[in-house]
Amino acid sequence: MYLKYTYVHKIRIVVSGLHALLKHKDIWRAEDIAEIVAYQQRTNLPTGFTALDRLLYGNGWPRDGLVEILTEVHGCGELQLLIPGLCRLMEEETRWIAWINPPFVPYAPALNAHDIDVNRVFLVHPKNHREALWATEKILESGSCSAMLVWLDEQQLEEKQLRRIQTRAKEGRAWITIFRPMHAQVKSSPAELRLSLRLAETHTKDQVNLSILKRKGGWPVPNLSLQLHAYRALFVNTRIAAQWQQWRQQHSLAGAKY
Amino acid sequence: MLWLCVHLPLMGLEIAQHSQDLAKRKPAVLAADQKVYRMNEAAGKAGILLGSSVATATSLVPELLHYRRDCEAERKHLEKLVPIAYRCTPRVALSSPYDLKLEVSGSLKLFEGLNNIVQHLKRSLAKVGHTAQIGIAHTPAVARVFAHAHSVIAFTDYPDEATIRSDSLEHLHTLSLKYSELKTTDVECMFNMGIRFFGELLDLPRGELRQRFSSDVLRYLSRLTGELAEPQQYVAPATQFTSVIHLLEPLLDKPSLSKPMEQLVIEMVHWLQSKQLGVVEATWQFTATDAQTITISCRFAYPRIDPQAILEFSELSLSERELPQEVLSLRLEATQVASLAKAGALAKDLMGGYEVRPVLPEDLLDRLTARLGPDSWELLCSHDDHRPEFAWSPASDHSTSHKKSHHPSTEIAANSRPLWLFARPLSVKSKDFEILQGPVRIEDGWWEDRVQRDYFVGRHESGALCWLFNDEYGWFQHGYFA
Repeated sequence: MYLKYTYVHKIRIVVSGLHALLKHKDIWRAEDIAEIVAYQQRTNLPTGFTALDRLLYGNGWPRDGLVEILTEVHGCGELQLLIPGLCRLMEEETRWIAWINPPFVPYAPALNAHDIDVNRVFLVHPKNHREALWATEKILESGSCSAMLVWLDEQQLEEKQLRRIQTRAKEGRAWITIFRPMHAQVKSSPAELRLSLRLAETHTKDQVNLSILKRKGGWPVPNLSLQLHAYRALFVNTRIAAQWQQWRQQHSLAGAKY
Repeated sequence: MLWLCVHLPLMGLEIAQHSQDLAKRKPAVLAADQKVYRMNEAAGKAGILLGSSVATATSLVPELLHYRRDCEAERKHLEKLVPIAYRCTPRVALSSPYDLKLEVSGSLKLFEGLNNIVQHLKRSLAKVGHTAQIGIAHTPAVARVFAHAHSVIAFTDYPDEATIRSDSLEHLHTLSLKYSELKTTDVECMFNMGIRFFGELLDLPRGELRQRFSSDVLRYLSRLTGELAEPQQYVAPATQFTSVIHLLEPLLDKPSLSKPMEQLVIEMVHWLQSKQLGVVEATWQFTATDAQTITISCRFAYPRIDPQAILEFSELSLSERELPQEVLSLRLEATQVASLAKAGALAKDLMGGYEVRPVLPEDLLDRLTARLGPDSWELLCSHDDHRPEFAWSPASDHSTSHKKSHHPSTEIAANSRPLWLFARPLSVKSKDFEILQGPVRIEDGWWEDRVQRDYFVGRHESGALCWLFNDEYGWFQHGYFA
């Protein structure tokens, strides 16, 4: 009787272990094909550049998973690329956006001007690498954020940590972007999309050289030249300023008449 | 009137033995004046009798656990159970040593029937480690008899008064007089006269009884039948919550603390429920053998009432702290509470209308507070102010940020402000930058912190697009167009 009991018990443990294994997000099963088709059909998050969207798997940023952006300097349009995607998420979902360890202050009026609801943005300031990883994991686990922007300490960052984040991002259905320095491109990474941003050497009117180092469903694409939004909009502003000057001149003339 | 009497036969023993699961299965007795006052099932099986001396009991069962009765602790503990009963009805009276009396006729509809109330009470008491015997009758005196005799009448969910009265009296007739509140000498006397059951006593003519017994007996009989009203002194839950557990054996590690902590949290939640409050700040105190005390406060983003979450966040706060080697006592206090009504999903705004808030990750924020500290996260707020550094502010309280923050009335064109702002402007040399656009004059704040700056968009040598300004102190960088 006792022997029989332990035998059944053991089988149960094995079966439950197998179930747990099959549920693992890293394991792909052919029967999940419907889910994959649905994934391919749904619209992904736009980058704001049609040329870039076309190159990405699912036409845009992934809705869940890890993306890496490698940059040399700040202010090379690294946030501009994410803004259209974040806007789309804000419109479609009620979930929040988390910024972990941002190097500077995300400027609330500018976010507002880009139609990002700052009421649903929060910043986390961890004191060390361990806390940053813990916070990232907990936020992904909680499923209360649709997107996360993360800056981690490159010296202490290990590949296995990134792998964990990638798995958690799939579970938490969150789009997580990690910003890393350019020299990290030689390190291997489990991210499903890796981009590098370089400012064009000649500085010809805000051209940015974007290279896709790793992507789903395609080979790397080097040196894709993008026109930064920021400068174009600024250009529009100067035109408005010019118009306003003209208008004032006309009115002062009119005023002189009477 | 519908009276419930909750009798906790082993309460004295249960408080003495709290959080010792192993001890509960061993024979144990509660002793008063070296006599066995109460005992558990295991002790009863071993042949120990109530009223025998502790020495006799120990000779019967050498491994017997015996605890001294502490009347003061029992009284205090009974008061702690008031919130549980108070959830069922506002008419709760205590009767020492081990009884709670509740008048529940007004709560039947709320709980959808009498049986639900009984089940609810039993379950809530079981959660705090008590076995309860509940008697139901038309007067408190009869309910007490039923509770002590552990005999239950099956009432319908919504009984009418006449049925309760007739059924209770009928059932009372068959019960032994040893469950009565009469003096033991009187009961013994009646037993000698051959009067063993309530029925026999109630059938006797009152006039003849008066000649043989004191007026107390007759008054008790009138209380049983309901002829004499029995006014009760109702009690309400305390206005503040503090509870302490003194451990019999010091605990050495954090995991074993979770059991007594859970007990305290459940106790607090009962109190909160009875008061319709949620806890915003809970304070734990852990006292060690050398009287060293560690205080840990847990703050929550909104008034909380769910025991799991409160316990989880408390344990998270605990995980980051050093505790004394041996913890002797735990104390939990609800240091800050707030009305639950304010914590609803709908918040009334200024104009009296309701706005729907987005789904709040408050659990998440509480978890971050518990583990990383209260200043580990912040929310963003934007304000109507032309000065860039005053146009935003961090907020750590969600409700305030939500009220203040809105789309500013002065719309700024997208991209005219940088996405990255420096917390403090950085002093720079103008020759490192190529000026692309400007100037834009920002002049404001003459009443407090005057700002008079010309802003430019410039490109740094490295190619980064920067937000620069020039004022009387020179050139500064204020952000990046990222």
